[in-house]
Amino acid sequence: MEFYKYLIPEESIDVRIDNVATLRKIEGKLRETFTKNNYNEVLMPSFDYVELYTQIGCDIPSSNMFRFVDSKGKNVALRYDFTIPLARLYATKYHDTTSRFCYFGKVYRKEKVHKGRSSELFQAGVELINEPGVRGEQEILAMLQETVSNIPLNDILIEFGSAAFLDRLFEITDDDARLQEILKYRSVSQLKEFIKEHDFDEKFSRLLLKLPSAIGGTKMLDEICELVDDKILLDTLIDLKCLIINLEGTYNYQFDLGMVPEIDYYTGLMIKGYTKNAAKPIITGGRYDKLLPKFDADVSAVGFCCHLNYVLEALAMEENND
Amino acid sequence: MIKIAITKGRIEKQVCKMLEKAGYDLEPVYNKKRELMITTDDGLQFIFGKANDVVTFLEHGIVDIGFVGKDTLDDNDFDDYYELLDLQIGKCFFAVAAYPEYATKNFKNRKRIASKYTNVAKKYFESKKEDVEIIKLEGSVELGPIVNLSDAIVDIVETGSTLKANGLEVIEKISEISTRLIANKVNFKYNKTEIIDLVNRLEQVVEE
Repeated sequence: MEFYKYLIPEESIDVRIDNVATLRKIEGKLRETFTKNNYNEVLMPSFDYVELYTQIGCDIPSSNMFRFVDSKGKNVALRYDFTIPLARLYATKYHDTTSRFCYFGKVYRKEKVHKGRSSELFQAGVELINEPGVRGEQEILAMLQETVSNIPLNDILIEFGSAAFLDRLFEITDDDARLQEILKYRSVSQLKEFIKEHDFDEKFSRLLLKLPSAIGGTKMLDEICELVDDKILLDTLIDLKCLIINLEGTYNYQFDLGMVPEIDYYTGLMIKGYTKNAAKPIITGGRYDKLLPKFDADVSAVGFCCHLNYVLEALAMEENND
Repeated sequence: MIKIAITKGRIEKQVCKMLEKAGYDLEPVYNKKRELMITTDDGLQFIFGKANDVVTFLEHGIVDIGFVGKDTLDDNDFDDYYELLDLQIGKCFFAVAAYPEYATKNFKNRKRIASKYTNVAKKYFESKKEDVEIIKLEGSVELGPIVNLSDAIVDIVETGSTLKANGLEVIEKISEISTRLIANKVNFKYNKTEIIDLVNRLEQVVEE
């Protein structure tokens, strides 16, 4: 049977004509925003060594990559991510300067078949490398704001978390793996057990119990601050608050203090963007000062990425619902 | 409105009872005939499905929360959810079970393990640094050792009476199982107040 005449592999995405125009329009606006602010577009290679993703300590399983063996017998993967190869690019070519990069393109991630998931993901993003401290974050937040205003969805909600807050929390509790796991799943039942097992004072226990639902505006943040005695821990929250409340313009945002970094290179501000009609975040990012040192470049970095296929899906849903 | 998916069968019965105790009106659910989707006056919308399908609906954001056994969560590759509450019902555990001689037998070849939960079985033997062959059976997994298709099984054990009736016994417990309330991460953000209210009300029922 000549199946190839009418079938496409399970991994392929459906070829659509109707939403390409929308995609290109959004992409065009984002490109204009990014380049206007001196973010240089880079065209990243489609192939990279599997080790780039597995050895850098980001816990990406090689089984999720599309791999082949190159002419030298080395394992090569289809581009799985933009941030990691960009860190390498910086470390090898732009060392010590402050660099602004933006990118547009697909990443390829193997998914189990028949789950309704896509293996081809279209991303657009910015990375600001070697602009440490609040200045870097403010710049990225301004970019984020412009980006959000260029995505034609009605109900985008931006959420901020702090990896520094969590790191200090894990230090105080002297236990990172377990508490991190509990917060990742926001398991109230397990959190109660965890508190029972430890000899925390009453106030600190109350703080921990609040975390799974510590989502809200500055009022919520202030309430959490009231429960914090540790100076360093309190400072991480004050830093977050100062950063966000000084944002100019309108912005539908909230804090989520129970936000756990999905990749462990995040060190400070964490960003997530949601829309009602997408089942996954449409924007992810933050400060990731731990990544560049892995490439022997001792510099900071901050950035975010828009997951444009989720944006397109949400737009299609919005249209259907209208 | 909160959209809810519940695993059909025993979990459905127990969860509905708990929701009723928590003060929700479940009459429309109790009176359903063949409808697959039920909306109540309390603003809850229910769908009922097989355990793994509950997870699939939740992954795609079709429902905000789901009620599903920890066994399903452990064996499913989808991991990106919140597990808000342990309902302490449907308690049982995963275990390796076999004929008693399994424990002392010296295996020359790879052990053959029959299970419906192949991921759980794989992870368990990996953690033991044991390389085994896993054979998937869809039900009556106890048949594996009986018909000599496998040396042992990995399965859910509740009372152990099926094992006993067939001369098998628990070799080792793997992990505890009970029914969990899970939430889609994005939907949770948009329906936080309602979901947390439901969780709090259910939590009180659990503690009673």
